[in-house]
Amino acid sequence: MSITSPGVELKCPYCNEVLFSNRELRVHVGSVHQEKIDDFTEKYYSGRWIEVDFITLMLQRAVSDRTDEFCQECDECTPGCSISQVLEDFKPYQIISLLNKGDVKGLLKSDILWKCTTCLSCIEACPEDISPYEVISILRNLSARIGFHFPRFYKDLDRRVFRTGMIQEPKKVPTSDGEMISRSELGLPPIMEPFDKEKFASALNELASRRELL
Amino acid sequence: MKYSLYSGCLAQTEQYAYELSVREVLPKLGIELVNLEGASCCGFPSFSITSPLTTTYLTARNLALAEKVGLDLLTMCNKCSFIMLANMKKLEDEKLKNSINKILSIEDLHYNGNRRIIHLLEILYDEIGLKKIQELVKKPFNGFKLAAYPGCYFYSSRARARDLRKSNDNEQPDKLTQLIRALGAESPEYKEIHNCCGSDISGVEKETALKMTSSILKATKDLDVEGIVTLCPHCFKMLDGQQEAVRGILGDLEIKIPIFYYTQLLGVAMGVPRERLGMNLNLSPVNDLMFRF
Repeated sequence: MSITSPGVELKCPYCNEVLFSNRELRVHVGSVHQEKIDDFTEKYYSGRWIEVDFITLMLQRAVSDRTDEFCQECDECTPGCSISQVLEDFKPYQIISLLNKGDVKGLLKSDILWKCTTCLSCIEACPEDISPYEVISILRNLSARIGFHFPRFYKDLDRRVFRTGMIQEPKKVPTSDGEMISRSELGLPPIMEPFDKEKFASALNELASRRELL
Repeated sequence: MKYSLYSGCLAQTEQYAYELSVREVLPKLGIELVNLEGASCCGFPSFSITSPLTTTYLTARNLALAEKVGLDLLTMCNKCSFIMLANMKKLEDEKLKNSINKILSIEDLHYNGNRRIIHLLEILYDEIGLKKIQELVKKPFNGFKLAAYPGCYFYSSRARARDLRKSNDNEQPDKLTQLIRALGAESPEYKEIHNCCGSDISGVEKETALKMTSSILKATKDLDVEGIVTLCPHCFKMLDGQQEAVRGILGDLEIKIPIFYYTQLLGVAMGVPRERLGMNLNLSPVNDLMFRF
């Protein structure tokens, strides 16, 4: 079964080899492309094998299992898309079109995936019940995990959550008088955060090693 | 009514006016709040991209903490709410739930899935209700025109989380608009209420994000609205905190519009002193409107 529309072939994002099923893609990437991405991805997301496995499953679910239809390029997803209103060249369905053409690599290398604000309006608009949002989410995941293109902004947030349980430490904020004021100075209680941060981090590490979950 | 308060990362680390006003106002509405001690990030915006599995774990973890104190979990953030609802749906899979529970045991936690996630907007509209809010208003905002901006995720986030599909008929997208009217103010309907504030990509595509924020600010300005009211810390951060950037980077020099958390205005209308609602932390020009009030 194809990941996308019937009869469409897939290309490996690394070497462009043509593959015809999710399983083939998974086996191919896991066995042929063994090189390490980086320490962070190896440690926290347990490398590439898992991800392709997981992502192909998700892609399959999002695009083919969930619906017998596929994108007719009717463009009904565009008018409601907030990004399309400010970026003329952004149309949600075009991402599905590229995927349907088998151009996974081109999609992963381009910036287009990272322009979506995941506001879900495309799901509401699609008459065929296809979800550009889900496809974009999955491709982002694939791109991040195989180390193609992943904005550093997000990786830094992940690191902080591992360390502290939160995306950032409490900041001092400006008042209308121009002073900087902290949470406690405002009379707010200490933030809620994991009691034992070491245990919290070890649980997340354990999660990354459990391949059977995927 | 008693809930465990899950404030989320953004409200707890910088959007203090939101948390201050929630903690001030909700008890006056008969809602007892218990801090969800031990809570962590919901997984948005990074793990929700890099590791959907970790995000599911974090949902199970935060809900397990709520189960431990035996209370439903109150979220103040559209993103937390959406992420947790969507992942709660995933956790209906017994196999996944059992595997996650094995890992949760490292932190002495267990997820059953028997607690609700409820957004503050739903508490205000569905649990407290317009009638009670109207009764508690001592000084109404009569003669003021305020636009609701619930944030894109709030449109049917519950229905969408169910299966990421069409919203169901029970959704009322104008809950916040009605809540504003309950304070005595006029609140217009406008098309751009559905637009996204751009917060999601503000760390990556700043200018695009600002253009999106700007489109909402402009639309409300054209309606002669005197202020915008929201209940999402991400939307507030963009609409309130980025006005200077909108003026500077985009050259929209006329954009100057007060932004409020609904809980701030509700507090003011109930007679709570402004400083206890964190009104001195709003970066948009709120003072003019407050002086006229």
